Amino acid sequence: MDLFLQSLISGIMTGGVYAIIALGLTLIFGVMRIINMAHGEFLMIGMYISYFSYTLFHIDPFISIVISAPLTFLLGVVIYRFVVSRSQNEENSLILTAGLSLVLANTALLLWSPDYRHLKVPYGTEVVKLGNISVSLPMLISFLITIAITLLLYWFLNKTDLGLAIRASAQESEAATVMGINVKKIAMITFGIGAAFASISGSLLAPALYAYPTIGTLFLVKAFVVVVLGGMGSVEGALIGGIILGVTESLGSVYISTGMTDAFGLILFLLILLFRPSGLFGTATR
Amino acid sequence: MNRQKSYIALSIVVLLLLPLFIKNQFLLHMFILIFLGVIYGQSWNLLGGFTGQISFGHALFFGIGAYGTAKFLTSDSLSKIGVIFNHQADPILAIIFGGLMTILVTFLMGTIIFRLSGPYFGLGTLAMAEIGLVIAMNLKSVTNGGEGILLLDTPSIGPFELMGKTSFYYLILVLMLLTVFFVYQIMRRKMGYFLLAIREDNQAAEAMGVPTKRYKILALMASAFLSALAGGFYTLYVGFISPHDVFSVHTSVEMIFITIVGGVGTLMGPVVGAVVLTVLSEVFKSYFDNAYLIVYGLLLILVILYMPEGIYGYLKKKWNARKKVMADADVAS
Amino acid sequence: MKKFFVLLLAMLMVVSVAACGSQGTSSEGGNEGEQQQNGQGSSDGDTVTIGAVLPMTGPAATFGKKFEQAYTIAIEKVNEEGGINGKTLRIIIEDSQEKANIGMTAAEKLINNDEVLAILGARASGTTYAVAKVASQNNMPMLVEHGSSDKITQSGWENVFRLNPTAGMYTEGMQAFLTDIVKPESIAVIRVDNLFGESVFEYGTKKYAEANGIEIVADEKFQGGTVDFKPIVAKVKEANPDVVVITAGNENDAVQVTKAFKELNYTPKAIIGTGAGHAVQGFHEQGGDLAQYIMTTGPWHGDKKNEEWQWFNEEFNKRYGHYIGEHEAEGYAAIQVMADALRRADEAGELTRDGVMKALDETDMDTIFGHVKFEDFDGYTNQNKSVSELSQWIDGKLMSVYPEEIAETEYVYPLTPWDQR
Repeated sequence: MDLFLQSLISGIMTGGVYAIIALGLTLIFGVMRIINMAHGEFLMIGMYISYFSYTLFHIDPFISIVISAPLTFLLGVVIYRFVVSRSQNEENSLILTAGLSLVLANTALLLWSPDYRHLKVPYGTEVVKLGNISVSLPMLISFLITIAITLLLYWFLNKTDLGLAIRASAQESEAATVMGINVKKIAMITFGIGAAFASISGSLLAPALYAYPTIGTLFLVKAFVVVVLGGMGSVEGALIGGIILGVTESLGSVYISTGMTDAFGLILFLLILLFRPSGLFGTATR
Repeated sequence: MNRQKSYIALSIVVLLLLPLFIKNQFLLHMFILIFLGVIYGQSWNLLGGFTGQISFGHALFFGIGAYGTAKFLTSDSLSKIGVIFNHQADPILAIIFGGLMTILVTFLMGTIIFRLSGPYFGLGTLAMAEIGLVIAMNLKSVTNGGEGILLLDTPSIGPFELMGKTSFYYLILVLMLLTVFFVYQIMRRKMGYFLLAIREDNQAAEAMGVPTKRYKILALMASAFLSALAGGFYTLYVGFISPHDVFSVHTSVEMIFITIVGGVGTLMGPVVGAVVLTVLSEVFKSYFDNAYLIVYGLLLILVILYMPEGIYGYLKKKWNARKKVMADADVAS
Repeated sequence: MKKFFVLLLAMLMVVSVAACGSQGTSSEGGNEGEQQQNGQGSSDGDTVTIGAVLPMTGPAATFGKKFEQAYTIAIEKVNEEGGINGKTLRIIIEDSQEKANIGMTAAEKLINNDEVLAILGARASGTTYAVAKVASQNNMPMLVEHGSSDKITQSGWENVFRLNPTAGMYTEGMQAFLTDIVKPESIAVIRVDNLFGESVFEYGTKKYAEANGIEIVADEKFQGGTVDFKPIVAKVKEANPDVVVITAGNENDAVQVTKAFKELNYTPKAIIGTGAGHAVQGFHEQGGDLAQYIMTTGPWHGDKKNEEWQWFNEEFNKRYGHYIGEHEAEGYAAIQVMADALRRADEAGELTRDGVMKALDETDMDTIFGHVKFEDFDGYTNQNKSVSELSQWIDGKLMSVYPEEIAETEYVYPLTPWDQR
């Protein structure tokens, strides 16, 4: 029983990490139908920002979100304005973002060396005990922040004018244009928000994992799995999709086979894709 | 017509004679990589370019082709079938075996994967390739797991040992020419028109009586078979395969790069793409040290921004425009 | 169709020119870079060139960098002490991205450069296969200093020499310790899902366990970069083995696994890593107290009483900010062996690839990595019988603890429980 509960809780915690990575991606994918291959690189940048904030200025990684989010938002907006917005179709935007991914990752390699950077906070190995179940403190904090941020984003998309405009563009971009929404500007802002969320996920991961230039690719496929599980453009879907993936992997690796861990999520992904293409929570039409 | 044929013959003769004049082994290696790249591109282009089904998972077919070939050459029971001229299995049969395995997989896969379209199709194929990777890592009895398969014997085609650059050059040259010819033949026949119709508008094509699903599956099978050929050649040439080498997303992405940078939906595009990307990545390596991938990434971005229809597409547009100007001038005079 | 083939031909011509051009500049570029690095401004006098294939970009680039740094210091030292009988030694490093096919292209390029007399590399075993195969087809001597898959020296390649122990041999230090001291009835294995993890398990741990009637109660594989190892470690805890053997590809996975042990407050009698992630300084830097008393079995980190070892250790720290581990010692020793072979080849008047191969074959010398001699035994060819040791992290330092002949200090066993620290 302990083993089951431990795996379940670990799965939920890991799922939170997947969710926050997928959050930005699902927005971009939902609004622009772009497969953003450079998403992981924004995560990487977030990790480095947290790393340097901590080592140079002793800013706690969870607080460094305040620095990493606006910076990457701006970077995202600039990149969208000058690069991504100029692609004409799906496969071209794929190449563009893949090219961006190479440029960003290898610039990081040049600037910050290929070394693994580990951010060692004093509470890094602290655990919170729930009976016989242990949860790592940094993971728990990042999970709580993930929930808070998801709620915030949910509120933003549903209650603010800008948020409603983003949702309108995601669902029906032509109709949105007719309604007087500047779809291009909305897309630019969305791309910026997506980048900012990726970097937040990097900051949240920083105390638990390590930064290196190509770490972004590690999570890209998983993030897409979560996006599709939850439904494109669906914020609450990303959170629940992330947790489903985390739990599936965790339980699958304990009770079936650790070697097959990655396959469980992918098979689930294919099934959802085939039988419920709008995702578990998506309402967007295909 | 005759002039065209003589041009083709002339080019083939030049390519056949090339190794006689090139003594630089690295240069031959570059040619081999380029020809292999052409097959990468043609394979992806057939499905992604001509049929409009953008796949992110061609590494699956490449990987199965690579493993099929390696298994055929190394497993005791399989390789007996392949013994024709020598004491050991024939590498051509091995490559074909890899291709047939791939066709089998695509046949099963095709019936479900075409329920998806657009970006969903791309993600679905990506997931299938990733599942292929996990299976290859775990199915130790067949694939030898993460340890990979190392080919130690030198395979021979009849009396010809596949040793040294020249023999590999001819093997890949023949495979490449057959591939280009194969795609050319498909595209000038009824099937080609059907594929283009599917790309332009699936529903309209269906309304006009094109059996779209059957032709999509056929295109997938043909495209996958070509990828498997490339995978089989890779096995023979590199001599070592492991799941992370052949089933990796990088392989799928490389195929897309070659096609789109060259010119998607054209027969010549993948050829241009393979030459440009293979050569430039080596040149960048020499000039930019460890920063060469930055320059390579910038190149991809610039090509897409300034030549969205790819390098060949761009040139073709320029040519046609000039021809038109010249024709107009003729009329005027 | 006409355009198709005319364009094709035109491009083939361009390729030829471009590829030839890139050849020339590549060696010059490497030359310049190396001269700047090594502070050897002069281009007069002869040079002796060797090559190396290493991951300089991609996820494994950090390891490529370690070797590059070790080579740099070693080559400077060789040249300060008179070079190769008066000739300046230099090295050209080509990137492999840790992919077999890219590594192959890198090897082709080095082999095609007539100045290159031998190659080093290529870190990961998979890439090493591809490079070694090309090298053997072209009769190019190759010195492997890190790739550990047993097959590299079991394939009968006469040109391939290996300095480091094979993955199977990695565990010899641990085997001795288990047999003599722990006498376990069961072990559990947690290993990274790649060629390295597979080789250590198949040729080392599993073989040993089967031969000695020890039960393997759990064999868990993981993907590099796993965020939370608690489910895996919880499963191992349930199986309750005497000893847990862990193969981690890098220090991060090593730290993450250990963290899960602490978080679950699970202490087997011993936690033994198999080199790699457990043997680099980063394991302590990142893991801090987590590393305390964790053991690791692997290639000997060199004779720490050796003066040159001490000098290199200090010099490396002065220049690059950390002390040396397995990779750095291997890289430095590889240059020592190579310089020695080149000198002997030169003295024999055969400073050619064949000459270097012959000289490597006759190598019999002391390096900071211990004694080096390439021998044929047990199906291996040109394999150095280098010592494998068991070492332990004690107060932030990795100390040799077993076998006793090379031990620097007493081992701490059994492992102190996490909550009693």
